[in-house]
Amino acid sequence: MASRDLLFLYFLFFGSIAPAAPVAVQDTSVVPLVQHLFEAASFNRAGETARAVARLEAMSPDEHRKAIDAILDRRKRHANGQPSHSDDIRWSPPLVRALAALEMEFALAARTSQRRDANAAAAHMSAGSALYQSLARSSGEHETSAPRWYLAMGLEDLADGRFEAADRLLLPACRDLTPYPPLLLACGTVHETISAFPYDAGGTVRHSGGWSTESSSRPLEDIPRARAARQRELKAARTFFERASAADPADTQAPLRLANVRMRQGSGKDAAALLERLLARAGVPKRDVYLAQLFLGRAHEQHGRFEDAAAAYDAAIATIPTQSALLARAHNAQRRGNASEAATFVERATASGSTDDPWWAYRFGQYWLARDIYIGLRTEARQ
Amino acid sequence: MTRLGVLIVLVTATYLSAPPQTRFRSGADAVQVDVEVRQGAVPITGLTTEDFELRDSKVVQQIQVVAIERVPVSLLLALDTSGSVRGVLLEQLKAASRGAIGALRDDDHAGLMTFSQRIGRPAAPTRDRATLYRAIDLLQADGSTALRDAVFAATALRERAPGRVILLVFTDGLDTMSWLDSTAVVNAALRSDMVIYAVSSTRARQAVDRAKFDAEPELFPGSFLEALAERTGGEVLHITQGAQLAPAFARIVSAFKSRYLLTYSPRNVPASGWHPIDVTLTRRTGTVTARRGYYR
Repeated sequence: MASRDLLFLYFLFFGSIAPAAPVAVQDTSVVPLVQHLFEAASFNRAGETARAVARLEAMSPDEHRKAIDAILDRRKRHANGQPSHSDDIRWSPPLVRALAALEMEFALAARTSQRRDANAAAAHMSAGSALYQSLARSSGEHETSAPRWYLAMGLEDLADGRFEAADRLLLPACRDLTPYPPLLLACGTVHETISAFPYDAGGTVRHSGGWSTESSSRPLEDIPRARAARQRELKAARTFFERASAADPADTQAPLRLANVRMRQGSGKDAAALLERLLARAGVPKRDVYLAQLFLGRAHEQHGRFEDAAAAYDAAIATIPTQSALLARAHNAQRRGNASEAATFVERATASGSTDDPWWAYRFGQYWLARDIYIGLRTEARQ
Repeated sequence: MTRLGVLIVLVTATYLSAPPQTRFRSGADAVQVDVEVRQGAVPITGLTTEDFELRDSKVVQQIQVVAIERVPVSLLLALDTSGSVRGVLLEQLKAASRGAIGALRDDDHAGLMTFSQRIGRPAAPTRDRATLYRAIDLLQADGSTALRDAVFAATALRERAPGRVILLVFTDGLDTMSWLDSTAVVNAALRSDMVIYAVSSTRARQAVDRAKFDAEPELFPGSFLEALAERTGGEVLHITQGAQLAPAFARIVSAFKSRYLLTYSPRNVPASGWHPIDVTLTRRTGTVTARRGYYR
C-alpha cells in the first residue's frame, strides 16, 4: 500500500476527519462501505485497499465525510461500551467483527508496507482489539480473534527473522489480551529464540539490556551481564511455556520447547523427563516426535549418558533422517571414540539431500499456522 | 592407520616420502604436530630436528622433524555457499578455490565441502583435478549458514582423507542454523589432527572478543574461527572484499606447504586427558605456530 494511502487510512480512522455530532446514516450506506473496505483489505491488502480508498476519495465530499464520521463515531462509542443512539444503524456483532477485522487488516498493511509503520499498525491493532473486546463484553463469550491476529502477525515476523518486531508485537499482547495458549506459546518462542542469539552480533536492544559491547570501557563485564540477560530470557520462556502447557495440556509444542529451555538452563534431567513423557503420548505430530528425540539425545549427553543419547539420535533419524540428527549422531560416535562410525554418519548426512529439517525451522516457531489463522479470521468476519 | 583420540597416531610402519636423512619409522603411539615457523611474514625453511624443542605436558620430548613438503597433503575446502555469497563473490570464491587446488603438488589430494544450512560434499578427497574443478564450477549459493556443523563434518571426514590434512574454511557470515555448539566443534577439532585455516569476510575480532569467546563461547561466538585456528595451529585471514579471496587462499596453501611435521613418541607424560604442547626454536629467533595440545 502506498504510504499516502496508509496515511489517509490512519487519519480516516483516527481523527483528521473530526467527528461532529452523531450523524444518522442508514445501514445501506455504512454497512456496504465497511464491507467493501474489509473485502478489499483482506483479499489483497496492498493494491485492493488502495483502490478502495481511491473509490472512497471519489465519493462526493459530503457523502464521504458523513459515512466516515458515522463509522468513526459509532466505532468509538461501541468500543467504549456506550449504548447506541436510537437513530444509529443496527450495530450488529457481524458488523463489529468486520470492522475490527478491518482495523487489523489495516495494521497488517501498515506492518508489511515498505515503511513498516509500526505506530500506525499499533494504533489500528489497539482499535481492533477494543472492538473485539466489545464483542466479548456483549456476548459474554470467550473472544480469541484479537489474540489470533497478533499471533498470526507475530508468527510472520518470526518466519521472516524479524525477531525484534515479533518481540514488540507479541509480548504486550501476551500481557494485555485474554490468555490464549497458542499466543503464550509464541511469546515463549520469542524469548527462547532471543536467548539463543549471540551477544556479539545481531542481538536485540532488549536482549542486550541496552548495553553495547562495542563501547564498553570494561568489555569483559559484558560476560556476566550477557549471562544474566540470557537467564532472564530463558526464565521468561519457561514461564510462558508452562502457562501454555497448563492452558492446553493436549498441545505438544509447549512441553517440547519447555524441555529445550530446561536443558539450556542446565536441567538436562528435567528436560529428559519432559521429553520422555511427551514421546509416550499418542498422536504427537511427527515433527515434534523427531525434535523430542533429538533433544532427548542432547539431554542425555548433558549427563554423560552417551549410549542412551545414541539411541535417541537413532530414533530421530528413523523418524526423519535429517542432516541435524545424522550430525548429532556422528558427534556422539566421535565422543565415544568411534571415528570411523562418525565419518560414516557424516557421509550419510552430506549425501542425504534432505531439505526438510524441523530443527532448521525451530527458532521461527509455528510460522506455518499464520496463513490458516488469517483465513479463519477473514471467514468469520465475512459471515 | 588407526587414530586414537585426535592426534594419537598408531604408526606401525609409517614411511614418509622424505629424503633419506629424515625418513623415520616408529613402533609406538606417535604424535605428529604440524608447525609453521616465520620471521615476520616470511616462512623460515631448512630447519632440522636440532632447531626445535617440543614439550608435551611440560616434558621435553625427543622429536624427529621433516619438512611437510615431503609429506602427502590433503586440502579440504569447506566453503560457505549461503545466499549472501551469491553473485560476484561466488565467482571469486570459485576462482580462489581453483587457484588453491592448482597450487598443490600432483600427488596431493583435495576435497570440497559446501555449507549453507545444508552441508554438501561435492567432491571427496581426490587427486583428480578435473573432478574437483567440475565440482567447483557447479557451486551455487542459497540459504542460511551452518558453519559449526560444517566444521564438525570436516573434522569427522578427516578419517577419509589421506596424509596430513589442512582444512580451509571460508565464510562470510555468522552461524544461524547449526545443531552443534561452538564448544562441541572446537573440541572435535582438537580431537583431530587437522590444521584449520579460515578466510572470513566478517569483521576482524579483537583480543577482547576472543577472551569473551573463551569464557562464554555460546554467548560470544564471534571468535569461533579464531579459536579453532589458534588451537589447531592455523590462522584466520580477514578480508574486506571478494578480490582478496584468491590471494588469501594462495597464502594459506603456501604457508601450509612450508610447515614442518614434528613426530615423537610421548614419554613421561600422563596416559590420558589433555596434553598441552609447547614448541620453541633452539638456535634462532622466529615465530612458531603449532596446535596447543591434544586429547589422548
